[in-house]
Amino acid sequence: MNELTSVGDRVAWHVPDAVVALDWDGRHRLLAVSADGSTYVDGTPRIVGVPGGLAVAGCWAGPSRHVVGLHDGTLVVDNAAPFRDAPLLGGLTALAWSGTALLHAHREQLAVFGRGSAKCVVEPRAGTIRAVTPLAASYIAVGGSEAVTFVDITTGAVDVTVDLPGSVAVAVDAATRYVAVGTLDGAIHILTIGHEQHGRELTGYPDAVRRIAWTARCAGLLATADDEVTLWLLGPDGWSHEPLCAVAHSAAITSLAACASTPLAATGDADGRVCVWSLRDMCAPIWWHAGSHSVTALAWARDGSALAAGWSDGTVHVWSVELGLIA
Amino acid sequence: MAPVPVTVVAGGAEAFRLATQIADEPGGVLIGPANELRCRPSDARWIPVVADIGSRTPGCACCRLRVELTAAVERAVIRRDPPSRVVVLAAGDDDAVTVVYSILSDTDLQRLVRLDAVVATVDAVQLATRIHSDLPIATDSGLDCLAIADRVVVSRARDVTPHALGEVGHVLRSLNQVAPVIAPAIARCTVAELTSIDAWHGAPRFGPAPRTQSPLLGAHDPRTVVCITASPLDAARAEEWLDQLVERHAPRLLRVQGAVTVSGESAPSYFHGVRSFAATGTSPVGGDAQRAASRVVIIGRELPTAELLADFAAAQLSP
Repeated sequence: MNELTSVGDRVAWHVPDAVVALDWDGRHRLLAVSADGSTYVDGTPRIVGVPGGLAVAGCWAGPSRHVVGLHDGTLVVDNAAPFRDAPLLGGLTALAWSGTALLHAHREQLAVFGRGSAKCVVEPRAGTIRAVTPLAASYIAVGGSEAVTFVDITTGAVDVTVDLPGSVAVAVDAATRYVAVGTLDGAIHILTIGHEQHGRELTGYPDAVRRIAWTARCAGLLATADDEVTLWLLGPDGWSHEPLCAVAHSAAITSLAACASTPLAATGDADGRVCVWSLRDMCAPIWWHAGSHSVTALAWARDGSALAAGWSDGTVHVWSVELGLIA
Repeated sequence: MAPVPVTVVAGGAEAFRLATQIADEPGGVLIGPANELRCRPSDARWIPVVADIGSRTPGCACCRLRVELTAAVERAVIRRDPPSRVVVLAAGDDDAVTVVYSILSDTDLQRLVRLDAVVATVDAVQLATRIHSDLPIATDSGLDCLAIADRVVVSRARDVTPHALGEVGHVLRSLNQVAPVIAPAIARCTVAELTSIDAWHGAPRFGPAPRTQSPLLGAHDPRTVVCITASPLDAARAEEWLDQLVERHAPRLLRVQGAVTVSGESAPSYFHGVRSFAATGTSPVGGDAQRAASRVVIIGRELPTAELLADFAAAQLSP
């Protein structure tokens, strides 16, 4: 590779309200969810403005459909013919697709929509659920206010419970060896899957760690604190004692996304700035884009060839990314 | 995006009615307990919060509410057309002081919203009945809410005798030297009088202390201590005084707000705080008419009044 990594502008469009979520599917299609409940796929509207709705999450749920979660717990699924599921249990707190089942959390309960829209309700016993992350087709990690639990969704059984109060963010590495948990008290707990009771604590953050992301090939863990990006490296001898820290934002970082296939990451801040980082050199971002409204969502395409960003004014930008040498 | 002003409304059943009235103004959004907002579950302008009892950092009371409140505020405010006002209804277990502490101390909330005022509601009939029945005036959290309020709205004032209303007023003025007491049944009150007050930034506002404290308030009930001096303060001693105030009395502090003139500084310094949190405030938009004087208002329980006044006096610049 002789070329420098390049980020080129590709396409931009607008959704009616703040961008709540961005998600790429396996066919390189970008889903954008607007706060008013509208959804767009590659700029084309799919669901237009749910009356009285306030969308809080959205994602792809299979090869041909996507789902939007509203603040009152309603799910709106686009499957050629959109339908609205009855409000479940009130107050959506997390939404995820496991690959075979749709998982939506409402306070302390997790509803699992399996094949044929069969539905079951699981109680992960994690307190108020804040994050749901699939580990395998039927095995998930649930981060809640009281604990982190590992649940088999086919049986509804809680396999492992780790007493970890105040969880606000959960991330699983691509190889499903580790689970990182960000907590209210400014720490990150690294749990080894299969040996969950023995973990490592990464400390030093001044406030709750709300944004964490594993880098490609589990080389490290990214986290943000106010306007600072931190990278903890995982080497043959274990975790680095201190993280690499970088400051390139002049406002609080509001979004973080690590590319699953390349050593790149992106951050966005409250002033609208988007930065792309090379994890091989965290001194400064390799590229940045200035916006005028708060960045609300970032998402890398699965092959790392594109980066999408969304802002609170409804702007969606997609850049092509060509990985080369890092200067 | 400029922070959106937040009005915290607290009290009994009347608080819900008042909060919805304020939030129903154009551009308003209401955030409140889920069981209070269930009558309009799908209204995007009503965002429910369920206080998370489990989300507790040891020793920190605000974590019970903080995560849920932050999420609700983000949903309300991060919009293409942000609301012009957010109303937070503090009811039940979500006491107003905890809500205010979360709004002031959480870094994400500081970026999104700006605390405008706390409005407490009181039912005159209920309070008069409790006074005459020798019952406690209110719960501890209820008294705390009344003590820190910037406006106290008394409902059903015409349904009690003038004597009973006088007793109610005496209790309220003994509890709170800051807030005007408003009785809409007697003197018409508009929503505008309860919003856009910006009471938590800039110089503290307070009225005269009542000639006598209400005998219905006990020694451990909230009190207001007002420290005033016409002389500039020594910078180092003033900072030490504030640090020690928060360090020693944090669990008892319900509200502290001050405007101090410090030697060597051309403009007054403003600060505000709740419990263990204190921060520098901003200068008031209209200027400060009393900028020559330093004044600090401290509201709390079991405060060592004489010690606070003496230490504040000692922080003055030596002649």
